[in-house]
Amino acid sequence: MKTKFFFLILSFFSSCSDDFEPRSYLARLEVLALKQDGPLLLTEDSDLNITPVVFETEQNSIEDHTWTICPVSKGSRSNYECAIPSCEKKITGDTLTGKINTLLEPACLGILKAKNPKMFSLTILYTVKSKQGEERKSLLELPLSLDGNQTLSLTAPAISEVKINNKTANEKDTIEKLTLKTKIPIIVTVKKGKGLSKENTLEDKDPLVYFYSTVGKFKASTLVPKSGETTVEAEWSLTDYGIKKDKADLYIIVRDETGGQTDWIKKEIPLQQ
Amino acid sequence: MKKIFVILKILFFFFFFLGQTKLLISKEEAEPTLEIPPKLLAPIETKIPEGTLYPSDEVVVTLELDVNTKGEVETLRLQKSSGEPFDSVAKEAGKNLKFSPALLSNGEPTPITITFEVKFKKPIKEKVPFVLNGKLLERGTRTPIKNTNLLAKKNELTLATSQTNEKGSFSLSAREDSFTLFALPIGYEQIKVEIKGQAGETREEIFYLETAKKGFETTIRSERVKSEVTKRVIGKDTVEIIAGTQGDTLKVVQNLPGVARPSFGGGAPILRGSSPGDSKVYLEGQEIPLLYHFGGLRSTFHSAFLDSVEYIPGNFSAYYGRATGGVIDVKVKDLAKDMFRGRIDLNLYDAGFAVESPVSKKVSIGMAFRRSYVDAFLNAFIPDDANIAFTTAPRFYDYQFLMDYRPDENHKFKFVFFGSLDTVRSIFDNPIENNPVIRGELAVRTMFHNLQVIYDSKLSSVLRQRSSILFGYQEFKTNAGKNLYFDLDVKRLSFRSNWEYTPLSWFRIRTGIDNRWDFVNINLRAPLRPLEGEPPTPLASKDFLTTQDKNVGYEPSWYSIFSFEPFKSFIIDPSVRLDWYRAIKKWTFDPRLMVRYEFPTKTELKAGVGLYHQPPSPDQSAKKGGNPELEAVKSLQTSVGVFQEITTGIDFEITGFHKSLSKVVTRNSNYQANPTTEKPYLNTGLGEIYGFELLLNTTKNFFTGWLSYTFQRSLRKNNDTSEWRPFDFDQPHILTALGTFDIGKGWSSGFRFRVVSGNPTTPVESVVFDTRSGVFVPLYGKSNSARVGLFHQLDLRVDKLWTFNLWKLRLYLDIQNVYNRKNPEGLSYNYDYSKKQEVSGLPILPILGVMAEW
Repeated sequence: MKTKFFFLILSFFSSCSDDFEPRSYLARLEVLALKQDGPLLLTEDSDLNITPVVFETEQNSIEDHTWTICPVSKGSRSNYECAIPSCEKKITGDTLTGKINTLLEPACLGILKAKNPKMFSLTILYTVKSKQGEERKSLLELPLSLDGNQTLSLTAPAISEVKINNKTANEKDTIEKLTLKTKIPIIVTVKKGKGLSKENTLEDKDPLVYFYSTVGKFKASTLVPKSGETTVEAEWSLTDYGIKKDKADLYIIVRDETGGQTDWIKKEIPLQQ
Repeated sequence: MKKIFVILKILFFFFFFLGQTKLLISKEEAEPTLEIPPKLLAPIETKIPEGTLYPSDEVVVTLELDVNTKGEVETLRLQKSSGEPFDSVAKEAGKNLKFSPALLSNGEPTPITITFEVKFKKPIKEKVPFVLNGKLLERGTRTPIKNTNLLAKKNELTLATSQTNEKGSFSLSAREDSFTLFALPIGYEQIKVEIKGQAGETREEIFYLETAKKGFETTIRSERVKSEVTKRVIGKDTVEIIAGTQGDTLKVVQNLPGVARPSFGGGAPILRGSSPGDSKVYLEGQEIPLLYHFGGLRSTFHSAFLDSVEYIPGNFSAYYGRATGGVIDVKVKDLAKDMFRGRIDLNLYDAGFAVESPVSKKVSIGMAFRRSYVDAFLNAFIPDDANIAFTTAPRFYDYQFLMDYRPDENHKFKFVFFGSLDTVRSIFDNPIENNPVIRGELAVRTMFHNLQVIYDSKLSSVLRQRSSILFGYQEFKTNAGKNLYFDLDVKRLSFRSNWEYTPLSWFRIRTGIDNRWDFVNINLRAPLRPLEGEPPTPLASKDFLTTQDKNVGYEPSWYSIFSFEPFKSFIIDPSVRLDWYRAIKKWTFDPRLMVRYEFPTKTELKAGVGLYHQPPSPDQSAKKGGNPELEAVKSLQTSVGVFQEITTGIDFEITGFHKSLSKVVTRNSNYQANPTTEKPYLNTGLGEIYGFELLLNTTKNFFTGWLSYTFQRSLRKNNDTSEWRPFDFDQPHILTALGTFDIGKGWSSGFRFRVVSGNPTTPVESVVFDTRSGVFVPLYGKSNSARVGLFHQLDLRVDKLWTFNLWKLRLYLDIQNVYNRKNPEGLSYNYDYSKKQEVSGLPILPILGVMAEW
């Protein structure tokens, strides 16, 4: 038992390779995040308002969006098969909106309310297809409480400020041209969110900051602020990948591992040789 | 005082009869004639001083004596001198001579003058023996060569004989100052040496003899204990120079038939298609928690104190239990009784020493220690901009303290205190891209300490017992950041006692108990560990189990093994074992049978059948997160084998086997949906394992090695209705050829060549991006439906041994993977599993080592 756990921990070594492209390099259809704009701890009356953050290789290339909701999933080992098939629901559309007690059938809610405890992990599976034939599936899980007593208010982490090449680059700021084959510092200031602890109480959550781009690579594309700090600094090398382009799309996503608690920013940055 | 022999001759008789006597007779008495000459009444007593040099072998002093009528010497004169001290001594002695008076013919005594010779014979010096006190010792190890006859000979005549005692000592006493010493000790070079000494000399000599056979011993063909169908005993001396094992006896097991090749980093044994956790490793009958450091690099018990390793891949007797796989039982050697011995060894990644010595006639002690030192230079190889820094680079150490106490020849105690530590601690500056839950500190620490006391006694000619008690402490701590940790500590108390009664030559019974208590503390926040057949998924995507618990495990058992020999060479061994498992509150009963027949043609037929049970692992039967209502896994095992000695030093063995598994623990896919009504684990799994093993073994003067081939299939399914799939380590073909050549003059070389089927792997069919953790989660196809490529590897080794009188020095170069094959150990994927590449095992790895032994 001990040996298996030990090697489970070390299994990440198997995915480290210089031969693969960095995961931060955007060159195909990607779903970068599913953002819930609304309560992060759901009840029967909660509104779902989920927007996907999708990177398309060409504009308007998305052909199809499908959402599948299931209150109890069998998990990855069972390919996220819904444990209560009568509760599974499929919806199409570029966003997922609606109240829980509308999206889930009354019969399903009845089954769920008969269970104990009444805390579930609502699984939302989003499938997007492009006209070029690419398909991506992504998953979001949000806690759903049906005991009627839920008062906790979870908050998402947020991006407070972004500086690119030592210049402020918030959402509405314009970025100056960057020169290819150079290294660009990016400083992101984040605000922590609050999520559920294992005892179902509120606790601060460490935000993880993810960087993606259509040009170049990052020294480390996933960063977490050091203890007590609120900033991370990434080093963006405009080399090796996509260097023939005249502009770069840069995405910065922050999430804290507990679902839906995401913020993100996208910048288009002109480039020069 | 030396005796001086004086030969007295009455010259007048001599002269009278031979015409040389002068007789002086008075002229006035003409008529009466000499009738009776004087007779010496007592022998003459003389004493020549010691050290007197004799001019010849016989010295004669002639005296003229005037003898009166009473027979007394009145005067004497020196007639013929021979020098001093002979003249003085002769004269002094002559004065005291007493004769019977000379008588005339008329009966009257008469004075007379006679010539008297006093002869002095040169004394023969009695030869003082020359004593040779010696010892016969084995060169390099100083091992006494006992019970060897020696002869001292000269000119075909045996002057003396002797025999060496327990210490190799002898003593020869010969009354010649030179002789030829002969001896022919079994297993050693003969002695024929000229010895030149002096009378009266006592000389001490030590003779260091080379072994006649250069260090190779019979290994696999050693005596078979008759309770197992397949049991191989690996002797230590042979395996120390097998290529690819760095002299680690326990690693040699991996080259035997029936043993699957673990993937890189996995060290637990995979025997006859069973999971690593289904086989047990024992030290003198008590289970040890960890066999290898860091997944197979080096065993945790120093080879210096191993006597042998017993390997039983399946169908073991009721002596062992709680396992459905195989058994490896390590035997500890008896410590040196003769003198202080030891060894030091250094190689590329670790260094160690082992010493042992008698303390008294009844007590011997030993200790060993080994530590790795790759941590000393590992950080130098890590680039500055790497995402990882080791605060504690990977390191291990192990130690053993031993004591043998022999109060008399019928009782023996052995104390073994041993332990091991593996640890590594690193800091990741940033989260791992595809597993962001791993960030900050990653630490692993595995440790155990065991004290084992073994008591052997022979109570009578028919009754003996062996009991042992073990106190153990194990600790396993690992964490990856602050949100992922696994802390386990176990205090173990284990007691077993085995009684053997042999009332008849054809019947024997062994019975005993084997009890174990475990006091467990566990504190974890970790993902559920994958079961056999379940492929890995990113940690960040898993649901975590959080628990803090204490519990006490108790597993008592009783067994009996009967042995019948109804007629010569035919043995039947039925055995039974009864076990109780507290964690699941269940009993199991295991009947087993072994039959063996030995033909006069050195052919052995053997067969076995038996039932085996194994309890579920503690996490599977835990009250929280597990199912305490589980049953023990069950296995029905059969095997049939033939052993044939082809000629001296070459033998062949083939064994066919079959195992069926039932009640294998599986994951309940309905548990997540219904955690309050369903159990996370069930006993619905099944297994089928079958195949055969071949072993051709050779032990000749210059070559020792074996060729081993295993064909086996090991299949599993989760329940009655699912399909069979290969086991995680299903390796249908395993071929190993290895050997060691004795080149001479201390040189030896060895090779090991292996060809093994690639391990099964589960293909990825699609992926889902988990937006909580930011990682892609693979969705797998049919379990173990694909396979990585073939494994083949050549290892070479060369040794040079210098044997001095008092010690030996060995230098070796062990090159693993000589032609640098990139053997596939598994698959590596990119971040979204759209691309894959094979992960290779170790590249060419030369290991230079040196070992000194005395």
